[in-house]
Amino acid sequence: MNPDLLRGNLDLILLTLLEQHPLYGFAIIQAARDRTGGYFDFKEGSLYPALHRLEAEGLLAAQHGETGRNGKPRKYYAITDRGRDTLNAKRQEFTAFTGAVQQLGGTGA
Amino acid sequence: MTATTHAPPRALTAYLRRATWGLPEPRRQELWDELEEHVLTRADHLIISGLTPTQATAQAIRELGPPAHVTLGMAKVYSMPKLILAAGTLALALSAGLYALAGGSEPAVHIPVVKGTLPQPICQPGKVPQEKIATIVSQDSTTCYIPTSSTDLLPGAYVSEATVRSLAESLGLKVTMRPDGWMNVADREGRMSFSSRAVSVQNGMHYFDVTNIPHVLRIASPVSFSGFDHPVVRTDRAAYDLSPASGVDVYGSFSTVFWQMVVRVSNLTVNLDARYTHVIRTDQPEGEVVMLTSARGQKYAFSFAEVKKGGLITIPSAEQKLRWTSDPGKLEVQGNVGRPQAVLMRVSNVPLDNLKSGIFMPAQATSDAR
Repeated sequence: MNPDLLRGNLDLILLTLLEQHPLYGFAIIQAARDRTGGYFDFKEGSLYPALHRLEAEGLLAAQHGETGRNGKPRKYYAITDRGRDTLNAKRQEFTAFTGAVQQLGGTGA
Repeated sequence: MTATTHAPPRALTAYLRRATWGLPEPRRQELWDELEEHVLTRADHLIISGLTPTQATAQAIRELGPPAHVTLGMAKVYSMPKLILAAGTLALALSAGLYALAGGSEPAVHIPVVKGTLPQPICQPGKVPQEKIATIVSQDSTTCYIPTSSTDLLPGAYVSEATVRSLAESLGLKVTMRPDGWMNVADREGRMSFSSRAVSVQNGMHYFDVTNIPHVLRIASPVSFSGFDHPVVRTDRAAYDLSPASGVDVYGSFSTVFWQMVVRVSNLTVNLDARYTHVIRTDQPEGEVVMLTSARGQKYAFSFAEVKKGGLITIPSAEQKLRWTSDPGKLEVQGNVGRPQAVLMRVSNVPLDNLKSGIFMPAQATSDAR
């Protein structure tokens, strides 16, 4: 897929992935790949700054989980109430945008 | 899932240092742990698919992308100061080589060096004499101030505390800054350390001699030097460009360190006189840097020059007549009379911890100044 599309909608994708239950970084990437049949293929290096940014904005909250491969507790990201509000707003925005693009296609046919 | 842990591969440690460059310590550790966990977990998956552990780690690191992308992304999140962002840009230069740690080419890092004159602060216990105050730069039991006299301006090449700190912390070293301008850089185990006093303070920022950079680098890994007009310090990981500092700024300040790497001298006094010029024919390659060392009565004189076309060196010396020796120990015991013995040593592209291998004899056994 076009990486610009992924970048432009990164917050929406991450908040959606974390909507059901908290995940840690590596699991987020796996979930994105698995749930989209490999369509969303993150550059991992850009994932962590995005997660930290969403945490700093109060849309995600960190939780410590089980011990990871390095012997330290895994950092899980959980969506906050504010994050859910933002997710809903972003979804509406995205739906309106894609709807409008589809309408453009329809009138051009 | 397994909770088994092992020492992280060297390539991973190097990547993590760069990726977490300049972050405040709690954030740095947090991101370090996250990325480390990520790479180790991904490497486990790749090992199952048939890669060797080394291949798997290298592949997992490649998939993470250039470390500078992480650094700059994090810098934006935590609104780090401009200087740290500059360090992030500096880390960007590192990214290409580190991105391909499993055999990538040597990355180049440009260290922000300030070339020129800086006012030298004076530090003393107690209060500053009121008539001398230009600017009080720190107040504690010791007071430092910048005098008004322009004769105290110090020419040279300098790096800011922020630059030294960013570099040291990216290498996993611990930096301690004292109010009186002394900075200590040490490895985490406290086995090796280096202390240096700031030569100046500008707008609250301490500035240090540029030679602090190789001193800091050599705590973390073996170093070698190259280039005269554009001096570069190399480690096994990267090349650090010290321009616009010149060879005179870098090598001159490092001369006693070079000599102490070759022969342990208990009391090294330096003679700064270099009134004579020698033109010496050598078999050294063009562009290499050569150090001339002579001594009289345990007072040493050091000078440096770049090897020109045909192996020719034009180099200053405190002595009009010299006799070459390949034994540095002979310089310590020679007296004040006769033609003094001197040593020529290539200091570029020779590992600092094996500098003795750079000693060479020129075509002629002696030299008379021009």
